[in-house]
Amino acid sequence: MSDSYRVSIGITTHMGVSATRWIAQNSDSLGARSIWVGEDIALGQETFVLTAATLLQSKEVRVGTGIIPVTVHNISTLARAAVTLDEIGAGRFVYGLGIGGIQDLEKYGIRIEKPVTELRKSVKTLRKLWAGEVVDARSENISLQGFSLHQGDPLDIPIFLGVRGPQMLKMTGQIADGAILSGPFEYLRYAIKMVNDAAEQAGRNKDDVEKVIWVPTIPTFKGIKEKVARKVVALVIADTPEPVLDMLAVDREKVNRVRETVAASSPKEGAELIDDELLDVFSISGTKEHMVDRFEDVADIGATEVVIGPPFSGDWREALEEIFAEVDSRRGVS
Amino acid sequence: MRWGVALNVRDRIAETLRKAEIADNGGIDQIWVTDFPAIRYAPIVAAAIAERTVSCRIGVGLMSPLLYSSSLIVQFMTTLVDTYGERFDLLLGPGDRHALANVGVSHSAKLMVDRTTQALEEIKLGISKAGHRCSVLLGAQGPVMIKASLNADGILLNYSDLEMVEWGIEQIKSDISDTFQLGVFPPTFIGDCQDIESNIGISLSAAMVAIGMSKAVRKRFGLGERIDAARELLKNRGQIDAEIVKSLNKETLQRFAFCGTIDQLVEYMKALEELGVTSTVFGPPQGTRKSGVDDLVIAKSAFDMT
Repeated sequence: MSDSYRVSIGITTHMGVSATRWIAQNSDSLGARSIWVGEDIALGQETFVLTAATLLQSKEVRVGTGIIPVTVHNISTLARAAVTLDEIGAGRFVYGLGIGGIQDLEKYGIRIEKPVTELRKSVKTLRKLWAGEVVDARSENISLQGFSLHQGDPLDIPIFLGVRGPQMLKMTGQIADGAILSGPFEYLRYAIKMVNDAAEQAGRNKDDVEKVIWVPTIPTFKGIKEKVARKVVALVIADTPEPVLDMLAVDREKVNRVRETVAASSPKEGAELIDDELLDVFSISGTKEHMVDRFEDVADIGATEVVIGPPFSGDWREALEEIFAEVDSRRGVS
Repeated sequence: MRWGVALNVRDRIAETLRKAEIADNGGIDQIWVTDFPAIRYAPIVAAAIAERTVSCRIGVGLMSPLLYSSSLIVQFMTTLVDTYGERFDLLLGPGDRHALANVGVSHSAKLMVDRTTQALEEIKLGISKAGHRCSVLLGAQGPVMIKASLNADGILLNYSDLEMVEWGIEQIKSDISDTFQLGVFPPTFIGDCQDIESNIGISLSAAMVAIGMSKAVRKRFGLGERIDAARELLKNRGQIDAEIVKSLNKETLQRFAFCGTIDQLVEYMKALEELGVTSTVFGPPQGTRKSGVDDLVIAKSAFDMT
């Protein structure tokens, strides 16, 4: 049993207003540490307004973006939106940033040659602006000339980075306040070690960098159908980079068949090929007891926070309540 | 006549919300949340105002389609409506060219206008597809933008002078429907205005509007020489300052701003109403002070009793 991790809830911009509002309003009573707002680019609710509404509709929970691609917004907008959310949240807002998925960016005609450099520069520029500096900055995606936020008191807005590859993980350990990580268990073990090592090499304490794990969590004990879980996992497998797959001890031919099927037809067809082993490797699904067992597994390899959801389906509200209650009961909290 | 006030210029959110509550309780019809170069991102501030107010409509903008994509603008307007109800309107315009250039958005004046008019169509379509009823207004000064507003639900003319407002309305009067919102959005200061040039807040706001005035309008009203000189001065000095304000002189500044007592404001509003204006948004610096919002509430009450 591990008391060292916190449990949070993940929502996405593609969810409806009534669902996101319920989560915001009930997060404190559930005992959630954070609500993370994932941006499905250009789909559903606008990410900054949803994050604001989530802060306004809750009282104590931390609310973070998870993540906003720095490449699809002007850096001045990213800086201004964060200042605004930080004021609304009064210390409860954290800024989850990333470079954005390559396929998503290509869809919008955005091509970044040096993503690690770009993300590092974005973080540096934002921190300078929040410190009250007048900033001149240039990069592939940034062009500021004598721009300032006219910020009186310096702001210290925590920045979490949603990253995957080794260079990004290293940078996160060096400069970020937290990492948002996703992938199979063996990958997570590797990623957490990379972040921790980089933090220590940079003269930081590894505990200064939070490690938030956000993988598909699928509570099949409350009406959510297993086929939904299998479809989600088929999609995740199709989207997992080759180097991550290389780390896994699963049958690679089986994985390749799923990827080929999803690419050739649809996730629904791919779902037919998802067996219990793949379901367990690429998601945290099953009964509440099994799910909390898995939370404890990732906490044991260094995760500080585990995010539940999406997908939200079936009796997901009751499922959330029961999962949080299971965590509490193992910690002796009544 | 619909009364509105522009907030979110430099204030922290808590202060903006306090003023929004005063305006809402005092019967001000609409709160407009300004955006870039204001620091705080308008859609977020609009959400916070919606949480704290009951009756007023909430306007988002001026939003520049040069800084935000049409799809993003549609997305935040629909999110606001889905979350807080049908209380929101949108003001579009090219934005402050000088300020946009500082954040890497640099285009010719023609391209800025073209992009804005194209975005207007895309945004109207997007909001309509979402089944919402937000009014989309166009901020305008010159003849091209005034004509382009015929594709919008209304217009906010960015000057105060009655002769100029009348001229602006004349450009489109014969082509507009009964529901079209004819509005003005002048810099405003209620108070002692014996010497507008020495009142930094209102004179800087008026100078900013004057300097952004299109060539055609400058020429039409015989302001070309003086404003051209101020524009040249701005190129050298980098920002609008007392020297530039002085170069524009009192008479020019007064054409771009309302500056006067509550009684004078009531008279001015009556004159606007006679011209067919249906909506007035009181721009900065009026909403930058809490007492400024208080004064507007008093003025509206006085106007309603006339």
